[in-house]
Amino acid sequence: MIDRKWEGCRTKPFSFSISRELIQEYANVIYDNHPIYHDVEAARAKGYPDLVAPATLPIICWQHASIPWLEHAVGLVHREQVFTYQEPLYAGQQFICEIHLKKIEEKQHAGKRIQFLKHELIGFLADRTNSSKPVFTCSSVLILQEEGMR
Amino acid sequence: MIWEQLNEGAELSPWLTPPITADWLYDYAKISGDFNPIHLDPQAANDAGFEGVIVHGMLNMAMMMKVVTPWLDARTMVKKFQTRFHSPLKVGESLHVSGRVVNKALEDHTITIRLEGRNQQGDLIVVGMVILEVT
Repeated sequence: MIDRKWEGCRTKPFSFSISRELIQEYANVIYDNHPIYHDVEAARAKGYPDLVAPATLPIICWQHASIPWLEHAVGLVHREQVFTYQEPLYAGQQFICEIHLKKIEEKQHAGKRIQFLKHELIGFLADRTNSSKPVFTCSSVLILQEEGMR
Repeated sequence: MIWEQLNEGAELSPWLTPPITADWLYDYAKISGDFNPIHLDPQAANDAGFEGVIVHGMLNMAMMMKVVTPWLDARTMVKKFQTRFHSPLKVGESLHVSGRVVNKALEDHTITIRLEGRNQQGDLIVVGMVILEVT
């Protein structure tokens, strides 16, 4: 199980860039062939400055973070996910992100301890770092069972 | 346009995904960095109590959005998209996605859509809520 000392901790800030290729490739993998994700002219015709990112795309930021409290956790199960936006994300933007372990809740289930790990990933536009409000927030509840540590 | 067309109770065009293949899960693992073996290795999935590898929850969530995408433009933004993962979708299964407008709020110009993803047996896999802000 994850030591309670990590509750409230944050990762080091890391950067995340969105390119046209990333949006196109991600949209292919999630099987969304809508032109706003693939064709710049079609996106502009809808009023966007460039390709717009699918709403779930920021989750792939997780792979760019070093998350010390999850280093030895195996068998994590994703329970809940929320994305909140101040504005849409576009190709060509760069973000500064961090992941925050907001809360560790423990429950008993069938005689086993289970932890509910409430994480928040936030992203600020790299050219607007003086803003105190993240452009996007992704909250993830992950479940860890008692035997799920190496 | 969307504001006039999407009224409370309106059903979005549903979508049945193709059967999810092991190769597809590998492609999702590569782009997301989520190489959790329960999505890739049948033995690891069995050891974790599943009958075969299971689809990444985040892939299910991402695919649900496809029924909303046609409604988006620069004036119709996804303000919030939340999901609860109920049960796993197994490799080889398809996700049947449906969406219904459950609320339209004049005061903040939002449209709330409830999304559901079920497997072909009708089991509930994932439930979501999308709030669109229309300006």
